[in-house]
Amino acid sequence: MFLQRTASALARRSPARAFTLAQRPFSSSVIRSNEKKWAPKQEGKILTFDEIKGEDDLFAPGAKPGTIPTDLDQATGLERLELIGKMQGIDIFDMRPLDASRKGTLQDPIIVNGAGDEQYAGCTGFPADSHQVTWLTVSRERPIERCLECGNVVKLNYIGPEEDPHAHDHDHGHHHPPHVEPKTFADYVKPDYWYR
Amino acid sequence: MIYKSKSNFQNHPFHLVSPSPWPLFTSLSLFILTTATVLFMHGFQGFQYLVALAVFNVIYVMALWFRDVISEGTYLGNHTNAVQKGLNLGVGLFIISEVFFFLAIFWAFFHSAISPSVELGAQWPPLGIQAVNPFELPLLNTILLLSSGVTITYAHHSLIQGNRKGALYGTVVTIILAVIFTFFQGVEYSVSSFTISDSVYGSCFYFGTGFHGLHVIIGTAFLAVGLWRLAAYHLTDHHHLGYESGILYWHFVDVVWLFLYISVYYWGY
Amino acid sequence: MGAIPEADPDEVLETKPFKFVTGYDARFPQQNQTKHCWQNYVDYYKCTTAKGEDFRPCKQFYHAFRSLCPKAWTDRWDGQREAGNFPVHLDK
Repeated sequence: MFLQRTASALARRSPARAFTLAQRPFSSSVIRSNEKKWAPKQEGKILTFDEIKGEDDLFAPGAKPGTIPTDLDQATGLERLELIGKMQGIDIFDMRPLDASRKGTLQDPIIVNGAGDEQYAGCTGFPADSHQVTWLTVSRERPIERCLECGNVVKLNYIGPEEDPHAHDHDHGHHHPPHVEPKTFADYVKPDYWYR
Repeated sequence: MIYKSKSNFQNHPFHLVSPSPWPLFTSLSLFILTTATVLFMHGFQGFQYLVALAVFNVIYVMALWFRDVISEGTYLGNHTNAVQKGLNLGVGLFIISEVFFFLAIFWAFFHSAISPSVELGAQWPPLGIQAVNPFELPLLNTILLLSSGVTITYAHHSLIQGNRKGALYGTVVTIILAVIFTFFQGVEYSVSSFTISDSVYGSCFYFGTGFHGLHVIIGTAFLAVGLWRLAAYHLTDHHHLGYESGILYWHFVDVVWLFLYISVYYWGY
Repeated sequence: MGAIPEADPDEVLETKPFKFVTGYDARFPQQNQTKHCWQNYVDYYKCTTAKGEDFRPCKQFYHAFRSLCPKAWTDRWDGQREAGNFPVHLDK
């Protein structure tokens, strides 16, 4: 069904305004007569989920003049990525709740997917909702966290990019010393008892 | 985001808005508007010009803010399903707050009207108040508003079914009915025999119908923005949250009128 | 409601026997009897306007509002009747 729609939609031409992106701040948009400036900088096209690499692949072709566009005709940006994913049965944001069918242990923790350096995980115990929500922070440095309320163990499963492209920009040339976690009593426990 | 190939997109569906001057500017404009209106109503000279300027300012800042939201939602695709859900919830909560606003107005009315004090002659409408006949203009206005509810529903269904002409005409007719309603309310006000300072009857009557009229005007503007976005191909058959919110708001205004008509106009006659 | 009228210093104070004659009226079951007082005041003056001062059944209303209403209220309403701005048409 998706491929059929693709073929027919590609043949359509769209009204220029339907997918014009702001090429300059809107605050100066008094004069709108400059057609060249407002013409689309590229043709919109319908791509499959696997073909989408960057934002430029999320321009839609738009609707034919005189018709009501569909979301597939016209949605752009992240909304479009979500839509294309859903059309192929992929829930790109994975908004499902965490696994609450068991209590995580150090040997077999509850896995929390996260694409950033840190991820918050809410624990309500086992069975679910047996205590007030406790927010646990798992990070790439400290991937394992244990709920103070019920002892449930969660572990970060990092699924983000291999190398964070922004990681080197954080200093802004000021060269602060890197953040070191303060030592706690846990650091003086015999290393045999450490979980890592 | 569970797909590493999509790592150059944000990994959550939420729209983290960029810093914007409009909340601050809106607050300032509204502050100037209220201050200028109070001073004008207390007879300070020349403040009608500041009121006019402040009204212009509020509308101008609103237009700039809405323009930003429209670019984020329609042109940049920031309004994912999760964002739309949040916006919808916000609209719902806003309308609930409006319900309670009008509940307070009706409370004031019924407090005075159910047990009219002896100073009013223990009767409602009070002695000397010639209330508006509910079977003249108010009945016509009721019919106009109910019809506008029908036409906007027609427009909405046309939009969902991909019928652009039906959606456009339905919305246009709704706005025309709304403007006629507002015009007739203006006629009603100008020919009525009592003013806002004529006893608690006048206060309650103009408090209720006046704020309803203001909401009709706001709802008309809301639908007019929806009409423009429909004509400008902003709205799809599925994603038209602003338009739908305008419709919901319009139905709310419609229902408030029915309560006003039944209690203030008909029961209070 | 109007202020309590100044007492005449020369007037000799005399305590008269007071009898509460306004009975229970099912139209006014509330603790607040303002409307009860008001209704009897209105009924009395409507009664005398229609039937004349000497029509004895009107006295029922008179005794009722005289024993129920604060004097300041009835004084004020008397003033309003004289000025013609009493908020009820007593002749209808």
